Amino acid sequence: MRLTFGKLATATSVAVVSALMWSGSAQAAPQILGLVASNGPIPLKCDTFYCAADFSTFCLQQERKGPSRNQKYHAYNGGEGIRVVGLNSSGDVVEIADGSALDIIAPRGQTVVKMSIPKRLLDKFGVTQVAIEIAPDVSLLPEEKPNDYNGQSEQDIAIATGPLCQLGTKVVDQNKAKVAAADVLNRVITLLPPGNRAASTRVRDSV
Amino acid sequence: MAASLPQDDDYRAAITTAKGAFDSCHMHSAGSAYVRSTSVTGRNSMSLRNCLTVGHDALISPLNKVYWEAVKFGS
Repeated sequence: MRLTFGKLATATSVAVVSALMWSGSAQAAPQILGLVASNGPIPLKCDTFYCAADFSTFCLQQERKGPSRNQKYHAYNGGEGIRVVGLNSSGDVVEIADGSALDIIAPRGQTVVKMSIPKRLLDKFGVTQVAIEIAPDVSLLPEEKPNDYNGQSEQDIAIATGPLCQLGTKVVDQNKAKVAAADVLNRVITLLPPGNRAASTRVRDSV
Repeated sequence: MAASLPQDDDYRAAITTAKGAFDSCHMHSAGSAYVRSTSVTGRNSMSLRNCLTVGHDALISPLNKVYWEAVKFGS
């Protein structure tokens, strides 16, 4: 069988692209997420270097894949709609930053993001407690990767962050009880250290 | 500033729902859950934190389905 140069080149290209996709080197950009608006400020928990909390999200683009573990996100439009506020020693509320100052990751898919700020920012503003407030219609964009073969176009972003996000806000507003319960759970999850264990049935029954 | 929850009917109901998530993670009461979970290590049990994330996602994921349906039908 004779293999022409053209066929060989095509076969090689297909093999290389497949290998890249298989290895994860080239991939489609994941979903844009809608951030569920907060009902007032949500406190962050601080460790030595960072202050962080979990926030509920929903997927705005069903046709795209969900975020991989710890996918990075950025607040759309320079963090507009997100306020980072702190309480100083005099008891005054101080506005520290907008959403652009936040590190945002999706730790487990499309349902939640962890938002954090460096603790040194608190020191800079003389703040001892910090919280985040989220307005309605805030979207999060996945961090672009240079080898994304299906990145988010300007049109994709405009549709997702505009009418689709507004529709998401409407759905959230119609399900306030569930969203409030998710908020309560997020606040508890934020306070729990990562390693602690739920009691086993055996231990529970022995108490 | 921040630690208190909003005082409305949705949040009053939310606390009951959250307590249900606690109970399903083998905790008897919200008040003792934190203390007990830090002192008890159970074999073959997931962390309380991870267990509660399952409860959280069970609330949010169905909303996403409602949303996708709304997108599909243009409401």
